[in-house]
Amino acid sequence: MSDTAPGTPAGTPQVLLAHHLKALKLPTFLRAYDKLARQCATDGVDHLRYLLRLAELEMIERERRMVERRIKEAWFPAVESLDSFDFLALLSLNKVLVLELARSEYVLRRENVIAVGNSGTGKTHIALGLGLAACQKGLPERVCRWATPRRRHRCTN
Amino acid sequence: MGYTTAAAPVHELIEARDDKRLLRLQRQPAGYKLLVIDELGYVPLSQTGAELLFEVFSQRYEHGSTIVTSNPPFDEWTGVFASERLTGALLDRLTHHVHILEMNGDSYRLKQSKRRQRGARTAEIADVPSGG
Repeated sequence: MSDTAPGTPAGTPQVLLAHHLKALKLPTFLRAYDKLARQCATDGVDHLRYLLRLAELEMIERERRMVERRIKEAWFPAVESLDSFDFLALLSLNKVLVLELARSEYVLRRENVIAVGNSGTGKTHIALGLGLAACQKGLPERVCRWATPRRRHRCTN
Repeated sequence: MGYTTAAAPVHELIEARDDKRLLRLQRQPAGYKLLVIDELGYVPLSQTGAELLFEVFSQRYEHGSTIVTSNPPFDEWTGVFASERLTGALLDRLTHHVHILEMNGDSYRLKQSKRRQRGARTAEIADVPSGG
């Protein structure tokens, strides 16, 4: 059972579409168009809204990949977000200031942050969490790694 | 945006000293909007190392944000950079527009391992039938 138009070899439009979407670098279109079409048909969504949804999915996915790439290229030793930081375990830390910094406005003002304290209090976690927050805000347009580590650095602090 | 430990670029900069790479390496961090320099002060720097790292901070001053994590408090940085003059100049630039996060407390690693031990013990106790 096939819903291809008569006279067309089965699957030809799909193959061509897959090729074109790949060439246009629209992987999410390729992955989602069929499933979303069925969904839209069931929900009675018109072709314009179908295309819009598909484009939105592509954009969301692209944004996610960009953030991921930034983090990877910055050679972060581990991806640690501020959400996983246990502020209750370190009451001396100014949580309000950390959350304010997470908004990354200091990056635009070119200000610095120094985390100082004894070993094992999560300084690296906070520093990476702030870096991650800035990446997610899309602040650094350009990401490169600087200074190749001798060994892949493991999070030791 | 970049991440590095304090020791890694110093090694690299020293190795690149007689090379064109030095110039490139030194120019590169100046372009970052945000640079994380981790673990400053774990290892004392050589004079060359300290000067090179100072150069990095100096170039970044008012050009981009830097996040530094440091084990020793500021008054012990002289020991890290092995020069009072250099440390003074560096702190002056770094702390001009700065947010300081004081993070002194119990080590979470220590706490974690204690909790694990305690957890294992509780599990053992739970295995023993009550009333004994």
